[in-house]
Amino acid sequence: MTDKPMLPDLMRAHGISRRGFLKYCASLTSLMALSPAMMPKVAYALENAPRPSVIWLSFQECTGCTESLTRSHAPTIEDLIFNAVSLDYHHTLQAASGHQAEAARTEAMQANYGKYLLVVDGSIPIGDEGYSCIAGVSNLQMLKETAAGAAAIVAVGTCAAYGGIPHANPNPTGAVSVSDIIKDKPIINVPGCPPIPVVMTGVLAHFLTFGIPELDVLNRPKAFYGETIHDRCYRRPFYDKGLFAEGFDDEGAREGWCLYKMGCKGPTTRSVCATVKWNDGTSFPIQSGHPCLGCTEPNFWDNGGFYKPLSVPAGDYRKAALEAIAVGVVAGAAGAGLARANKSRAAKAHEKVDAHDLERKS
Amino acid sequence: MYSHDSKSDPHDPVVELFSYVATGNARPVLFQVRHALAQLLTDGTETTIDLGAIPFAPGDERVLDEVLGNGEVKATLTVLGASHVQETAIPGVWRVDHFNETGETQSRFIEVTFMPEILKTQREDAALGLETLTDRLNTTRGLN
Amino acid sequence: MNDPYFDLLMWARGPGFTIALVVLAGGIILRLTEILFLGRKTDLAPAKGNAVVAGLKTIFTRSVPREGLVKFSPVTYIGGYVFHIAFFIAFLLFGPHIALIKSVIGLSWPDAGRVIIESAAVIALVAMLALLYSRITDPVRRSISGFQDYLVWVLTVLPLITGYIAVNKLIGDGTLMMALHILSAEMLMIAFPFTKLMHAVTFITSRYYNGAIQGRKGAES
Repeated sequence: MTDKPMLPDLMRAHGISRRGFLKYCASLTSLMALSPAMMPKVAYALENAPRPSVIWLSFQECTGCTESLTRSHAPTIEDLIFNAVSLDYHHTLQAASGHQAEAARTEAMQANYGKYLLVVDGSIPIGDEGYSCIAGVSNLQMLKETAAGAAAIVAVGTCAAYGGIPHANPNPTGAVSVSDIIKDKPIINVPGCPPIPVVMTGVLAHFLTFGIPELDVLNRPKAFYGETIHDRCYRRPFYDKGLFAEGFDDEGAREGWCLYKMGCKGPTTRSVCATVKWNDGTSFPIQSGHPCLGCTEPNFWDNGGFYKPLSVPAGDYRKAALEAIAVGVVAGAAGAGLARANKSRAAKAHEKVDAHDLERKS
Repeated sequence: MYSHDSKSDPHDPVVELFSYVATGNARPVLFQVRHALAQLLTDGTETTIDLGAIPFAPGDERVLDEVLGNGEVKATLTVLGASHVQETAIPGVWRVDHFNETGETQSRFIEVTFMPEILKTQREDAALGLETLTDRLNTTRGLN
Repeated sequence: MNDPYFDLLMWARGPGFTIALVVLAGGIILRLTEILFLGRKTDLAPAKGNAVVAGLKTIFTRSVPREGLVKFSPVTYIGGYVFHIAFFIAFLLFGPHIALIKSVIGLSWPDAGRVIIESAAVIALVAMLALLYSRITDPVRRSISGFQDYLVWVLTVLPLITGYIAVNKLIGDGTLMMALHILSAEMLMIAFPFTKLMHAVTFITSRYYNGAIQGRKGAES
């Protein structure tokens, strides 16, 4: 294990006092949605836990997750979190490349076997492994190799967590999620397209201080994926009052009414966008006037269309219904014709009708 | 009190109007503060309430400001950005608000205590201070 | 990795709805065509009044119960009216439902607030319980009630209950309850053409025919 300085020492080296460290811990505890009483525990964990080695593998992705994480104009908590870990491999951010970079990865894996944290973004193509390779090694192989010695895996972004956009219909590369391949390691899914930066760092912070956070059935941390957008949306009073925007530029849209009829997937989407928001609490899609896409849920690209409301059928029903009506007319006419023929035959044969015939269910 | 959001202009009529929108969450928090203050006086237990964890609209902040008010002590910390520590008009109830270098809010707390921890000098910092002072005295000649 | 609840919701919104709509639309048109093509036996007596006018008038006049009938069976009439009105409010005035109708037939109208919708749903449910109670406790009604009557009662009540639970997130996962709500509505749609639910369409023809027959004879309908 390489000799890495603890976070408090690192902060002092940067000229930050212990008071500064305490301020940092207070904000971090709040970020992790923990009670302020946990702050001393967070401080203790950061002072005493050794900086874990982190290997970040980027597979079939758009790099949006890395971009989201590194968007900062001033030293922020995100930066400091990454000072609390030893980022031994990140092929987008690191300076090294080629064989040296791959050698650094294998060395870090061997030195910290069983203890390093593996972070993955991007989906893994298994239709033809050749679709996505790094240094000649397919994503599938690299994932299996690197996961073998990992303590835990964090699947960052919807692509790594569920397959994401490459997985959308017709899935030409056979893209799958990390969970579809690795079955024997704890996996934390942090979905979103991309995830909110503070959510990503909050999850990493929790892992550093207390280990794996409480997860839901889709392996997402409950602290950040427990509530739906709908239940925390500031436009909820408009939904309750029946005031909906019907277009992007009508009166409802300008008044900021509910976007359900514009296709908002808020009711079925679990995320903290409505409370934590984006760009350090500036706004989120609904506040900016666009319906929620549902990007933290599996298959959100194939959920019937971003602009189709949840209550509206997503299939191609019109054609089938019109055909059914046509068949109904023909069958109805035929049935009536048969019945009339029967009636005239019965009348000709002078058949009698009694009470039992009326009861008969034909 | 001061504006938490550096982007909002209190003279803007919409902002002014919106500052009356409340969720009703301020009152329970204030009762929680009262309970904590009673506890502080009984057995010295300190309590910290994270305002970021509670859905608050500007109207709730207004209620909080009206009931708690401003007290005798106001401190500004300059560490990793600014932090404002203000004792409210209710002694023992402090507001501790942390901002980062660009002025964005990082966390907001109500602390019920005789002295907020963040105001105290930390032992490690004092130890470093001793070294620094010793250094400075050694390099200064002939103190008269 | 998949969310099984959302997959169920997508099935209900996709193939489920197509199947239900095909059965509903095809079934109604089939039975309606049959009724219209079968027609009525020709009345050979000379007409003493206008059949068509009387028929059309009866479609509306039958909405008001005859004198003494409400007192005779109050639960049926009052419960029936309350249920139908409350059900239509809950179904036709809720925003998400209006979006559905607009997608299918292109018509839309203003939405009502959730308080009105939920109150209507609860009132409709209470009326349904009263009607069931009357059906079970009255010996005549009980003896003429068959499997179909109870089935239709269950199918009608399920969308009300599941809808209320889904919107309020009362129990279970919200997405699952929404899927169950849509599926229960689809079951209602499929059962529609094969049961007495057809009265929603055939009340027009049956009231017309009754009125026309009597009107032609110059009698009151």
